[in-house]
Amino acid sequence: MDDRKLRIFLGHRTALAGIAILVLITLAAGLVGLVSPYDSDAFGQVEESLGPSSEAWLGSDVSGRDTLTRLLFGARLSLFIGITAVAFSMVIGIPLGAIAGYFGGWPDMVISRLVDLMLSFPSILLAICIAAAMGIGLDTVIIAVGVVGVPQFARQVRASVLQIKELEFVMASRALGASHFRILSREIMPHAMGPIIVLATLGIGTSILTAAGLSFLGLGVETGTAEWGALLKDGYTTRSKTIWVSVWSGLAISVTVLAFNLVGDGLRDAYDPRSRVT
Amino acid sequence: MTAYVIRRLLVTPFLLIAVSFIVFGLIRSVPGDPAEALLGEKGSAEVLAEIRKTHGLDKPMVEQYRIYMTGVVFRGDFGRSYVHHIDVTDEIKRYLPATIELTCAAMAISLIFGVGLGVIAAVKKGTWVDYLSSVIALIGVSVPVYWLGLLLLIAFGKKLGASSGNLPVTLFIERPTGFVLIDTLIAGEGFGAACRHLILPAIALSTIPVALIARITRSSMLDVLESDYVRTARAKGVAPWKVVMVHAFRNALIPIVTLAGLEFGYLLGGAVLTETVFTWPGMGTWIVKSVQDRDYPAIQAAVITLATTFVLVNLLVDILYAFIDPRIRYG
Repeated sequence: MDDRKLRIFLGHRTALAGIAILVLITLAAGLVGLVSPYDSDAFGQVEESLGPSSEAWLGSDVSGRDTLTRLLFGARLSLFIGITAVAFSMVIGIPLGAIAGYFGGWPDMVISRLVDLMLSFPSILLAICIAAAMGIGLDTVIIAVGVVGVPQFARQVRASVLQIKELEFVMASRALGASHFRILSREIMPHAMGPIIVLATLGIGTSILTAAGLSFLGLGVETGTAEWGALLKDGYTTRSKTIWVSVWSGLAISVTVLAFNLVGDGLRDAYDPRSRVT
Repeated sequence: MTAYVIRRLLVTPFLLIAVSFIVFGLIRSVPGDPAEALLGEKGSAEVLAEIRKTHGLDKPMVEQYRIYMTGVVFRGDFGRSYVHHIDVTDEIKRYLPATIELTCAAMAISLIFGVGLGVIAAVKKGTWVDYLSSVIALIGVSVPVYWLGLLLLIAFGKKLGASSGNLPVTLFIERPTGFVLIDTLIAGEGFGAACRHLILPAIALSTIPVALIARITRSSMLDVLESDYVRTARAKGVAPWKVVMVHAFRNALIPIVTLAGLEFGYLLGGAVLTETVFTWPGMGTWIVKSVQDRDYPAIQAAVITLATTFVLVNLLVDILYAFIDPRIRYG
């Protein structure tokens, strides 16, 4: 990010608020093991189904586990899923988009139709279908959510590469006899990174939402795992005894996704000032 | 434009074939023998072999797909449930109308509030109303619908006649159409309860479309409000409300209609989560139950049906868009 973009980003107050929220959540999730007097999984550590109190700041679940501790351990897993799912989407989507945009012709036609095909599913349905086929578990969630994100990256990168490959410095590189791989990796892709970074930031929020949705439906991580969607499901099924588990876990998801959206909006304004909302 | 519409109509069957093939392939990749799943553990080796032969399960996957899709397209036959041993097609007829009903209700709420909020935000640009609409839009796309649904259920469920937190499923009546509201009207009982059951999931499901429609309405209205003909209308002394609603709004409608159409498709997917929270008797509730029961023919049929509906809605939106926007010239 050059100086001008950094200045625009740092002048974006809501994006900075988003960063502050994410730093806070990451720090709290990283330090919870050292700071919290409670274990995340052991039953009966505090009184069951407590509301917010001095003993358990955000209350406890029906098995006597501290909700705040479980939420912060859950943050580790939810952030991990969000980031790795986006990484999965990028590893597959970026090369596909680059090949389609750079070479054109039949590779472009095949890849573009594949992308259209994937976009013709509502994303949660595709994720459910993959999860149903693979069975529940952490790796299933990452793959299911990651696959759903692939077409967005492929489409964005294709559009960027189509635009950049016509620029003079790329033609100069080609005239000097550089290989296709070198032109793509050294000349084109570094200039296509802006929209990718924006998409990745917004994508982490979306991935956390989709992954939590899968866990809420019982198709995500193993039941009982401290992950936000699974906690929300626990809270939903035990809401007649305590509503606090579902209230806090939903709030944690919402605030984190909101923070990623704020940072993503700030980055988009920095990389493409024309996109700024009037 | 005609060429564009014809091309879209020609591409759609291929898209539907590809979508159904992916779903079929994913579900067929699940470990286990479908014949055993159909018969349970009672089947002898001979009976299992017979079942495989009858259902074409001993054939290569592409051939199995051909047999399955021939049944779906020409006989409306989606196969039999592994768990309940009934026709999956009957289940679709039972659950799909309720999902369409919920989706339509959510769409109506989205249009009323999304367009209203967007128009007010554009007219009052830069005021607190505008900022409030931006905040609502941002929160709308960040909050999980199932959590919002749960909060609504906790806050209003009891007032709307919920017992033990679940809204009542008032469906012990004849279901000639599958649409809950219409069936209760025909039966002459339970219409009020059905409306009460529908309102909260529809509100929860509408949050994301409200946010997106408000954003697009605001930006579309701002574009139009700053155009020369609107300035001329104002200069001629046309009443402010008439400038906004008659002169500006009509021309700002095109992107709103497009987005609303696309959102309708996404609402079908979003309904899966919302229905689960509110036990609304639609496709979402059925899919989740089928996944829990490992009832693969049901999952396959449900996903293919919803994805097909999604593709057809998108096709309609594209064609409608080409009709309402005279600038569109594809090829």
